[in-house]
Amino acid sequence: MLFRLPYSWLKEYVWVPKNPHDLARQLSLHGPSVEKVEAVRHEFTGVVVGEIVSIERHPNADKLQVAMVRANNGVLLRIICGAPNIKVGQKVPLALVGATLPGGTTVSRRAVRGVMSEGMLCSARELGIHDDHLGILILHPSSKIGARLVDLGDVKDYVLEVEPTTNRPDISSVIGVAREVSAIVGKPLKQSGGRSEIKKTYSCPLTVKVLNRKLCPRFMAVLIKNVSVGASPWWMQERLARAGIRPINSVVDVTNYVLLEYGQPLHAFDADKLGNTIIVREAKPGETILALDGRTYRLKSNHLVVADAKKPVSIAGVMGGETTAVTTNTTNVVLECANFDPVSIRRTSRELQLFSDSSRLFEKGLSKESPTLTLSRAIELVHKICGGKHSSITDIRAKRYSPLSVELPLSRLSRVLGLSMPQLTVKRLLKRLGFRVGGQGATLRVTVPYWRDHDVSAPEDLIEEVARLYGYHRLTSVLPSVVLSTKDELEDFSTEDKLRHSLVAMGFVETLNYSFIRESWLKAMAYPPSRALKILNPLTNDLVFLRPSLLPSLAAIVEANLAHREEIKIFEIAKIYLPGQSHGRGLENYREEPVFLGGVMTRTGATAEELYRLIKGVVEDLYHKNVNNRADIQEELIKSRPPFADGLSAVIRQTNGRDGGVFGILDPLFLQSFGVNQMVAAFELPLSLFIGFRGYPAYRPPPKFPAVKRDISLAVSPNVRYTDLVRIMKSSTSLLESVELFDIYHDERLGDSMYSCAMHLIYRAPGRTLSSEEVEQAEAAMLKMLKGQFGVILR
Amino acid sequence: MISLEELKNLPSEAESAALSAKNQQELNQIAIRFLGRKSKLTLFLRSLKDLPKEKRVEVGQVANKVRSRISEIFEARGRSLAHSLKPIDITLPGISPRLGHAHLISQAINEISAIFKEIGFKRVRHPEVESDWYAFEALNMPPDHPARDEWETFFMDRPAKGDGDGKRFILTPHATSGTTRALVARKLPLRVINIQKCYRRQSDISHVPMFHQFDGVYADEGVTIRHLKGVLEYFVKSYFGVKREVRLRPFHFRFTEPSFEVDISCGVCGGQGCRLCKEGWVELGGAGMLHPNVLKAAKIDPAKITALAFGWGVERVLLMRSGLEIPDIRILYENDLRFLEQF
Repeated sequence: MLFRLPYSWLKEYVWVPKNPHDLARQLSLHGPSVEKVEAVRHEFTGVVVGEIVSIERHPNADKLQVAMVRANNGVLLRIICGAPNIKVGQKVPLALVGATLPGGTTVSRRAVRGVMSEGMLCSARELGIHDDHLGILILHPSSKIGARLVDLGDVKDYVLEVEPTTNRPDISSVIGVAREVSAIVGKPLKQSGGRSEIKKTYSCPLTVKVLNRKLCPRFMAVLIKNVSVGASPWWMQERLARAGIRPINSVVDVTNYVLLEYGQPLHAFDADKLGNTIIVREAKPGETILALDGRTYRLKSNHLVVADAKKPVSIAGVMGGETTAVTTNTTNVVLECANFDPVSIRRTSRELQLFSDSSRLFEKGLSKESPTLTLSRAIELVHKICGGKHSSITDIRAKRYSPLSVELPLSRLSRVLGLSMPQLTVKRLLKRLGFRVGGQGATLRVTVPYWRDHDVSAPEDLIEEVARLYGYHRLTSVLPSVVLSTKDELEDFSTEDKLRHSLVAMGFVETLNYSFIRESWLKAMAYPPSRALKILNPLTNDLVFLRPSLLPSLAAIVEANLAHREEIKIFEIAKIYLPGQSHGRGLENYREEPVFLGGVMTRTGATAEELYRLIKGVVEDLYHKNVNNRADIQEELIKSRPPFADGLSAVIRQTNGRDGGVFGILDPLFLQSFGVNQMVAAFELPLSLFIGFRGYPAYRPPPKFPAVKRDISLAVSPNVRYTDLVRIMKSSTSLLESVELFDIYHDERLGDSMYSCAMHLIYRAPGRTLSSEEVEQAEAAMLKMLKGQFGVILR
Repeated sequence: MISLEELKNLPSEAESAALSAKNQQELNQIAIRFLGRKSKLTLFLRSLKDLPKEKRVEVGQVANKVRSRISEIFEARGRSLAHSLKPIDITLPGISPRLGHAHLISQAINEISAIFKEIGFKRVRHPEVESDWYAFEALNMPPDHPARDEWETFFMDRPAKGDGDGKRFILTPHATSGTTRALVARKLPLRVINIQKCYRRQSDISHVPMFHQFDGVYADEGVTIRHLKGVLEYFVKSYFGVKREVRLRPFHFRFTEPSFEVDISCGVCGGQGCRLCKEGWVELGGAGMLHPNVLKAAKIDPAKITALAFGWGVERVLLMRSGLEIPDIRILYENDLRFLEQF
């Protein structure tokens, strides 16, 4: 919650350096951050205070008026004005002939519908002070006629944008920042203005009842009679506007001004509309209130209200009601200054979706002591600006205030800071922040000032105070010495990394997808949404489920990139989210989140067989490189494993019998639901498949004797599996070292019952050079066996 | 006799003459013309003896250089005639073996974990679907605490009531939930870093609903703010460069006391102040000393043990360091190959 603080205002309460940037740096290092320092100034000249002496209707225009306005030295000027809100006797900003206004307008003498106008009356927006443009800006009656407007306030100023942390609502105020500045620069606070005891003039006629003292631990009220409510003085309007608050009328402005100054909200009621009874209570179900924002709120019984004898007049601590609002017709005012329970305020504000500066402060927790001074200051300012006589103050508290006391063992300080600080230094730093410090020796007894009673309650809080004021930049840094250990070692990340490197080397591009997917993606892979983990409050209505597979996300990427790619090879390493295996309660039974490796590839025009062999090659290479370079993967044909297509996909059978993941061709129907109309191959493997393999297979010397390489082409029936073919070939002779398939083609001459299979065969004997006769004999035996077993014919 | 100027021109004359030779024989004849007994060069060298001594040394050196240069030219041409290959247009494009690409975030995570590994932080893995006990309650944020509102938390649709795992199942909004888990489950001294996906209900040019954080914790006897500064500086200087400075700014988090925002000096203006930074500094992330309540929740005695902790966004440090100039963080998650293949 940014707080806009005019520099001149801060200066009333504490010494500040000339350059606000210097202070900003200091504050950021030791206290609240200053986000920005903004230079502000009025962009007008030649505007003075004028008094309206008479108003007549413009002879030639219904909507215009001719005002006689008294300016410097009693000079009367005729001014044409269109705004309806002017009245005789008002003080108004008068732009004299030659005046310049923001945006570069120069005011000149000119005839308006035949009547000469000798200047111009200005609205707030025309002066650039705030946005109000509905009427002429009315000035406080005490404004001196003819005085230059800029002399009534600060023509130039700076605004600091302070960002107090959530635990320090006390800093969202002029005095709060001043306290920080005082502590940082080591200069005392100035007590600006008389904050002396307000003298009692007559006894308070209000009857105040607080029915729930837990939700309202303190309630102060005062009646002020015979006030004149109008415009507040220029300086006040100027400061409010620079702080980002729109001026309303003098009483409301005072409550806002004091709120900014003290960080304690106040509320003003029209006493005649309120009556003499004030009840702080929970709302009755169904009660409604028309709030100051013009909206009607239906209240619930957990919402605290301030009520008159019959009905709510304010949503306590959140927003006042319209019916008792102070207007320029108000003559008697009740000021409320109270403390409300932060949790209750926060809940009310959230349930009603109604947020105000007041609710934002109360919900962070304010001190029950701060109303005292705040109310005095408000009374003082109302007197000064609106006159009137105030009653005695009604003050209802749940409990007597006794300040909090915390013990600070100095050893704990040095344990956190890593240096020992002299006791005197610690005391000095704490005192600067308003803490009272007693105790001798190793433990200090620290009394917390009331404005910190919500955020300081333990020694650690004090340690932070001492440390920040001392300055973190003054602590020298130390690198902790490294104790080497194999504890906490997890193989996952190095394995992920190896797999990532392998895939990148194979030309795959890594993608990164959100963990949530839409329901239609689950349905596309025939995954029942009732099984999937579901988000209660998704960001958008479609991203509701946690993905149980990486493949839908990857399919969507294929679709998005096919327009500009012939070939796509992508992968992702991420967790998938599955329902827990057992039905017990608890997080571990609720979900599993294993890490998986998913990849897809496609190439325009490739056949299913080609893509299958390509993706299988990828899986095999990953396996050989990262698990076992001797054994081949054991694949089994699978069915009903969406989104993989039946009969075109395989599951990896691990040696322990477990499912080691799936690869193959994706179901075209699945792909179509993503708008992909070409063949795509994929794999989805658990990271666990690759975990736990360290070291190397045993060394094999490179063969000393030459191999004999022969190519053969066989006509094979489609019913014969390749793996069986190779098994028989190898079993027929010990000389056959390896078989490499290099071509499969469907030859018209063979018909549908056979296809052609071309292979490189490598023959080798361990201790000698093979003769061609030996190889021919072996091959003949092999072919005979193939023919006998499978009806395979040499082509 | 030729002039010194003419002498210096001889190598380039020899070069074009050598190129005109179509075979070794022709080349030999041309070589004799340039280096033989009657060549201009030889005659020049012979004439040197007539020069005064100091001049002779100087000119002699030049002439000898010319001679060896010409010899090289003929040897080189001889070699290229021997293999009889046509020269190649060396500006022809290369044929790529088509390496793939690791995602920028993976690259950043690898770098970050490598840096912390050097100073003894082991990387660990923790859940993403988490209970609010680990994400909030154990981090000094009791149920209904307003601080919980600062995290735009995703809740799972199944309530967790009554199973000792907190009140709600959530998608963890910060990697600090992993810090709680490490404190609860592992033995001291503890020095681990958790880099994981985190989730918050937000999406705009600087926020994505899923992002990555790295959260480190070091708990032991005698761990101080000065160690925290040391660790943060080590990371900043390793990742961003040794010239970058670190500043700790007081801040407030429920789970650390003291708490800091960590700023680093702006890489664009070098700390002078510019439109991309705040008075010369840019904000990196949060850090602090773990609150005693957090240690207590993990059954660790805060009177004996202190702990430093920090938690920052991977995307943030990635985008802050590099010259990527990615205008919208969501681009990282669009998976357009034309983007991914740039890195």
